[in-house]
Amino acid sequence: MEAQYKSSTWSLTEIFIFRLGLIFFIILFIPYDLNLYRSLTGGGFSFQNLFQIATYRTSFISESLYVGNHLEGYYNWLIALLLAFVGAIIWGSLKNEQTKKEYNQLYYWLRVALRYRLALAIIFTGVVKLFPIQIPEPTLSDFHTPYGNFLLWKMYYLTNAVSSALYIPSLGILEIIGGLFLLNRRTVTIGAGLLIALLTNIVIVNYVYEIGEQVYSSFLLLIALIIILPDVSGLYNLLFLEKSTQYNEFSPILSKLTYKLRSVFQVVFLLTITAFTVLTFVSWKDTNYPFPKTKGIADIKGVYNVKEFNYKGKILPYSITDSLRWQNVVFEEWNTISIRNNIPVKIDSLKPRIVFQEDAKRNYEQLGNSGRHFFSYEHSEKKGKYSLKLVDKSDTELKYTFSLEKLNKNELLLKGIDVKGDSLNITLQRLPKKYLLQEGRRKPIKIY
Amino acid sequence: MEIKQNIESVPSHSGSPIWSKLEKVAFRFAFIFFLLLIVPLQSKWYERLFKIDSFYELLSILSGSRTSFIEIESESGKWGAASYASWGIAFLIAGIGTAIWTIISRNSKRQQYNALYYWLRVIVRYRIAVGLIAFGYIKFFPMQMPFPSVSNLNTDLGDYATFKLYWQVVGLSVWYQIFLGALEIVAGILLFFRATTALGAIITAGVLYNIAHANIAYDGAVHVYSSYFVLLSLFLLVQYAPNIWKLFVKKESITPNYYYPKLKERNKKIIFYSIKYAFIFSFVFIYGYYRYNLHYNEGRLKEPVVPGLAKAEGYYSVSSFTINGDTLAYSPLDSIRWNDAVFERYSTLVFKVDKAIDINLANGGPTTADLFKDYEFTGRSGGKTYLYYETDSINKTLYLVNKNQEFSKKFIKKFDKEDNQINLKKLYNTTYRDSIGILKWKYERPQKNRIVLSGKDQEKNDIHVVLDKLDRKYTVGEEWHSEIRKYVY
Repeated sequence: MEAQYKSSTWSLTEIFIFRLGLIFFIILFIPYDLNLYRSLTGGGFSFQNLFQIATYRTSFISESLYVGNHLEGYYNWLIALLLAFVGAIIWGSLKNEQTKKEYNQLYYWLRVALRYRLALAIIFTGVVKLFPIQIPEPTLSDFHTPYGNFLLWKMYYLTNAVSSALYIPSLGILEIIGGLFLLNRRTVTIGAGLLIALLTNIVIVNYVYEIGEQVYSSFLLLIALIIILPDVSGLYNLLFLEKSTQYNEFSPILSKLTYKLRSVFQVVFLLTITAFTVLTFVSWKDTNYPFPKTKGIADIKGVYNVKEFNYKGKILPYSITDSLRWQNVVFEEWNTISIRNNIPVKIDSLKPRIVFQEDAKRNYEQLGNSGRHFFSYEHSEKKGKYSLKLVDKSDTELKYTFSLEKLNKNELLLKGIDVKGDSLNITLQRLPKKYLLQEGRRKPIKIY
Repeated sequence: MEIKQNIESVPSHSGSPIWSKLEKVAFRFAFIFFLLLIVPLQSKWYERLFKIDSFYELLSILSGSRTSFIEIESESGKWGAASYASWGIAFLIAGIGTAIWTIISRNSKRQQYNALYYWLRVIVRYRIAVGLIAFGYIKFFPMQMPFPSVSNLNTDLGDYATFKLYWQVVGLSVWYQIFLGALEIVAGILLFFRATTALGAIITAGVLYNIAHANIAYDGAVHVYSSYFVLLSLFLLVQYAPNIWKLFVKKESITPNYYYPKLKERNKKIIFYSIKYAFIFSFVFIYGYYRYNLHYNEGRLKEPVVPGLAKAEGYYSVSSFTINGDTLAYSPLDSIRWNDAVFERYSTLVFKVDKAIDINLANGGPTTADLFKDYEFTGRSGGKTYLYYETDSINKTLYLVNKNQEFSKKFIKKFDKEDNQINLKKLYNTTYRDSIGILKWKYERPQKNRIVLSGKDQEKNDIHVVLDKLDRKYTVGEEWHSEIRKYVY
């Protein structure tokens, strides 16, 4: 049976720290973030928008949208802390507050708010790992990009993506379980402990692989630490000192109305999570997110050797140093072509954010890839001849028009004009490539 | 603020005086099961033990014993559920043993196994600790996951086996690797002490669970051994579970009472603590020093350590390729003419052709002689041939050997000694020339970024190759490597 709570007075320091902390978190609950508003402009009730809202952060100073170790987001913590400091002093000088012995009730509500906020964010993050949305499988273009030509974060994502045995989904499930455990008073300690372990790793990995969410992930970790704070002395007692420990947790006095509202709120919360999960799954199935949804030309997927490259009527020989001649071309299943040549790639180093993107703007495939040039294309067919309109995915001003003809099952003839107005006449030959990445190490293998 | 400890209560360390029937049976089972998995039972282990020639070897044998009663020859036996068969056998034996033990002791008046349980936990704690410390030091002195070589940086993602990607991504950051190593060492040290056992076991269970799952997810081949530590650490946590449940889930007050032996006599105390601290000192400091020495002084690493041709490191285009007098034009689909080439910082030359090659699927462990260091090419396809070479700079000659071959055990034993080089020039005049295929090529360096190679290839064709270094930029993090005392890089 549960013991009764023995009320106690707080020390002046405890009271001050509480006031400071309460104001600090209230400020960081303000949903002010220009990046958030900008990313919500389209997409309505899409799962991406819901994800953005659930994982919102408070940014008086906008965080960088690029990967790397950007720490300016911590200024927002500093701002909140300064305001909280001033606020706590003013609060302490209020007449009727000076006599306060403890803030157990308020502290309880602060923890409730933090628990739900963290639960929402971490469960949504878990759901996008449960389905391959945050960490989708490598594309054929990735397969044909040299290891050294990825940004650190992309290599980290790709490496995670090639795992089997439900490695990533199980991490998602752990995040969801941790989040759900926060919703119940009896499991909150275990949930917070689990999330501290997961989030510590996420924060470290964010720094090491320059993923760009250092500040946000450490904010979630901070919340988890605050949630477990009241249990720390108990844990220490139990696990280190191995001493008797009396249960002494504050139980709030709730009015009947509050009880009712709480149940309603909990039901709504769980329904939101369920709805988000369903919506995410359906949307992923339906739209191929984060890759483009539009299909490419039928039966064209593959890696192609550039068998012949005719530039302004002149055949250029194979070369890995020539800046004009292409080396190989990948046709994805969707309407993307990627080309490897010796022209430096202006690397797209935007963060991999889960935001609503129209088909043409889906950029995940080229993010963090400095080894290939990516183009999306529109095509129309007329008597076996295709007309292709290519747009450079990193610079949508650059457009090309090609005609494409299937010479046979594995050969394509591309004719067109490049951006400088020079004519190109290219024969592509599909290669029957086997990948060690897919073949694995379980059986002896001899391949190219 | 909310949970107050009862100051007066002194922890009593008697353990529960009366165990339930179920507790006793469960203990008997655990006792047999874990001893079977911890006490080395293979004759091979003892053979190794009696052949040791250094204290380091003793420590590594003690920290690395892996119980294996049976190995099932199937895919599942190596990679899947059947690879845990030895656990299953231990489980069966423990089951039978428990039944016999229970029958024999049915008239016994014994009411608890507190002392035995305590010592079983000590054995488990120490087993985990030494295993983790051994794991930790190969990361703390970053050996386990090297930064990708130039050749690896120029290998396409699709040409990697997944297990290689998993290791390599950790190798991208030296500090991450050192941190992970330190974490394992700290978790191990925590398990040497009672007060910190719970924390150590929690960290071990979490970290090693992740490692075990990753080994399954990437076919890393160390899943059974890493799961072993998860199993052991979960066993350690069993003691704390009821109290955690009571205090945090059921919200009840608790009074832990775990048995600890009382050492009353001075002599006993001295013996107990000297053994304990000698053990800890050996595994934390002496073992650590040995690892340091192997790493930074001897260069027993996964990556070769002998510097290659001076200032040659880089990715090369093959500007000209002549074979038996015929000059071949470049084609990426050519199976004879080199597509590209790489000189590593160390003694490796790589060239690529479009040809199916036997893929070495080993993990790639550390050796002393550079010739046998295969981490750089195991688990990778893409038609690359990796040549180990030694330079005779006076005669402008390279002696080369294809690294991707199965050297005989005798050969490895003979040449994997203190020296990182094996003196190919000398071996060239022996029968080894043909048995391991030593090549002798002239090299010239007419310009800063040009290297010209000429000689006979493995099929005795005359080749003449002009290589020009390209300026390649890599975006996948900052290169790092260990500097070995013996060499100047």
